[in-house]
Amino acid sequence: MLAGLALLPDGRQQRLVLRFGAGAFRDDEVFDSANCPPARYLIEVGRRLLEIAPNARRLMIANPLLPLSPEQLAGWIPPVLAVPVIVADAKGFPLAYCLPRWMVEEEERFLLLLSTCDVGLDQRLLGLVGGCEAGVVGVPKLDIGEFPPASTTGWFMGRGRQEMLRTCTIAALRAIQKQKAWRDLPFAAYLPYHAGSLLMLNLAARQVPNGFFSKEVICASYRDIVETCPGPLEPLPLRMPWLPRDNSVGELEYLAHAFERLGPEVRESHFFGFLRYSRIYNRTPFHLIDQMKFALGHSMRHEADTVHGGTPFARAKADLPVRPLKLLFHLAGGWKLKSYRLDKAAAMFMALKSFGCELTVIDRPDLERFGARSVSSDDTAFLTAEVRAHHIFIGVDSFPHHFVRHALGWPTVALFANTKPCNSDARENPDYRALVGALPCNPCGAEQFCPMTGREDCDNFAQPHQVVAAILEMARAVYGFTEAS
Amino acid sequence: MTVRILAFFDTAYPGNWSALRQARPQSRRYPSLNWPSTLGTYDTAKSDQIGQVAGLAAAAGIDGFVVEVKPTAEGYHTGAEALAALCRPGLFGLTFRWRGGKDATWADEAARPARARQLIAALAALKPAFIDGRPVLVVEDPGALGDVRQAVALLRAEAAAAGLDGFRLLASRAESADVMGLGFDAALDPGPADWGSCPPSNKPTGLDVLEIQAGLKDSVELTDKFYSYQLFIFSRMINRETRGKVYPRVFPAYFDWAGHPDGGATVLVNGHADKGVDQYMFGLFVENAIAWADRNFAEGEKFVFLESWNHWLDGSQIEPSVLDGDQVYQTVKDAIDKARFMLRSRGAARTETLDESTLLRLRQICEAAYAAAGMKP
Repeated sequence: MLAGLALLPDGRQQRLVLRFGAGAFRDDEVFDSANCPPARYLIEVGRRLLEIAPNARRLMIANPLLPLSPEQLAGWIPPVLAVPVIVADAKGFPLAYCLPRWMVEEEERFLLLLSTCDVGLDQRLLGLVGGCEAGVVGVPKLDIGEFPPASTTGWFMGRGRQEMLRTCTIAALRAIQKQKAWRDLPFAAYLPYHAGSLLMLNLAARQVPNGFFSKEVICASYRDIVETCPGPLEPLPLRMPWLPRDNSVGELEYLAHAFERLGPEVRESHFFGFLRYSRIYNRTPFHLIDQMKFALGHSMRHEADTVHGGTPFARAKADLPVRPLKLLFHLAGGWKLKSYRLDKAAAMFMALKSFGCELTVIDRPDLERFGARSVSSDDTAFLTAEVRAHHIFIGVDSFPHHFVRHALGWPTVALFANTKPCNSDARENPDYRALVGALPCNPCGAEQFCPMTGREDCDNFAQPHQVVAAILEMARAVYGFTEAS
Repeated sequence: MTVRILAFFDTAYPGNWSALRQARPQSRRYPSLNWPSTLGTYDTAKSDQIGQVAGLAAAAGIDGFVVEVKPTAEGYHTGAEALAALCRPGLFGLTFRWRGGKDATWADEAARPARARQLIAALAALKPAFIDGRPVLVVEDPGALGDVRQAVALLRAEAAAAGLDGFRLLASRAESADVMGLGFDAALDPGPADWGSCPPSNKPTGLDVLEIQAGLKDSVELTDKFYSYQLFIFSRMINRETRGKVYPRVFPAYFDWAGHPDGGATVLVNGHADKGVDQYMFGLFVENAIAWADRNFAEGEKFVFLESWNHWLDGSQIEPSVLDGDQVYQTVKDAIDKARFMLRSRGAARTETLDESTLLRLRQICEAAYAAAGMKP
């Protein structure tokens, strides 16, 4: 729930309430994206307020983290109206921002740098951006307390993540103070990992040409992804390995350390937007590319704005003889529950071998004994070469699947289990199928053990015969393959 | 056409409001019954009041109600006349259910043809309100109908005679193979009380029994069945495709203790009895069931049944309530929005599917491969 209030010249108020949308794109809904800081929603409420009240003089916008109503905002309208004012609780947690109209219209992207969790930092930022002394009005009777790691409105914003927001705001304050021409500094999307997210970001940036950002911070070891699938964002390489998936390093510990690692020169010559998750990404039905598009500045007001409604980014297929049908598998995701079980893979491979198929599997040498050739893939050039040597790619919900489908446009069968296809699949086509079960626990958010069965695998994967059927159907439709030929 | 969401609807109000008011739990393990808020204690016979009810349901994305066809001495009635008058093709419609196994009038074999005619007549009276113009009848507990094949034939013959084109007959059954062989078009997951899809969580030991008899423990442990909501719905949806053509029945909660004062209740428990609905899991239950129905049923035959809109006496209602506000309602609305967005936006450009014999062969090959690899499917 998001709230805003437009203060009109005649003293009247125009009220606005928005719910996080679930795919119906109603007028009173806002796109639900996990990949943007709370301040991105503040900007969106500002845009909507100016739409419904084009002659508003000031806008009172609730902190997007809080479930506030316009009626509550109306009770907090600050008496001083000439400068930006933040309404804060007893301990300095921002409740609402009362901003002059020009600030929302002309300085929109600088509002993205608001921490939304530290009134002191936000007051300084608004003062510097506005060239005036920003005010603070307290609501001493209200104490928000410690914001929870996961809120009922879907925010994923515990203490550590708030620290990351503060870090970006502090860096912005320093940059403004150090650089005379700070208004010309580029904005960089701070999303150094993971490979799939980076790919989605690049694909999204292609569709948001006039967004907030012109650069992206990426782990240097992901440079090949940017080279193979370039977008308009200029990479700022981070000389650190990516965050390991085994939880040996805490995510926020990594993010803060990596930010320091960029060095003072980079930090003071850019503004940074925190684009790692601020909300729970799999609660929304929207594709990660669309979630990134919203984070980059697109308002995503219509269904036609989403990638599922559009044509694929690329389309290609193998230039090989139909037989033998060559299949490339990637069955090991970033965590155990994303990986296709050994016995199911074995059955699937043996069935496919009986149709004369040639099988290659990435990073699963344990499947060699079932007739597959095992290869290791650690860069996109190698992966691309392997894909082009096969008719169809079959992969779990992981980077190779996203890359093969979205960047190469290759015929793909995707295997989902405890993640929702809608967040990272592609539009159904004769050359794209996403397979998943019907379990009501999807997505569970678990990584290593099933919360229901306690096992190290997920029962929501398609059964081997279903996967084989999908492969054969696709081979028929795309290549004219017949099992009997 | 999208997946149709049909919610079970009880037309016995205002009568049932007093039953709800009077229901008192006899165990602390029983979750509280709830009480309506936004819509109040409406009268289903009054068109202004039922209009608000149907409007709120339609606003959540529900396509229609399933109303019960109840036996009377003279025939059958639905109590849905006021509701039917509000239905509009493509916007909101009605389907029906008949508790055949509990219909005492059906026991008389000689009377069955006449009863079948009366039952179909009750449906035909509401013909303009049929969902998508087609009559759909859910038969609960079909195994208790006596000669099921004869019952199906009677109903179909009467429907044809009454000009009810496209008559669809669904059996409340966990697997479709046997009922389709008897002439039904498909099956529908039985209600929670009729199908415990996983073992109950309460299994009294001998000592428990003695303690219950000594008055040291709550007797419901012995008389009632308690299930974990999460496991219960998980086990309903796992490997669904192996059960054939069975429509999913989704529900936020279920505890029918009010109808079982002497024991025998089914109680789905979300952690602790007082925790209310597990909205996250329920939302996913609805969302994933819709996606599954879309993938697995042919166009025009895609249904998900929601239990229920207003079965307040078993706690499965999704109407706005005093204890939950509009949260459960909103959960359903969001889940339907999400699922429909996914279905609309993912596209439906399916490739040609393999024929049944090839699919069967594939299944057999995979099973043989499991065996050859020394594993079990």
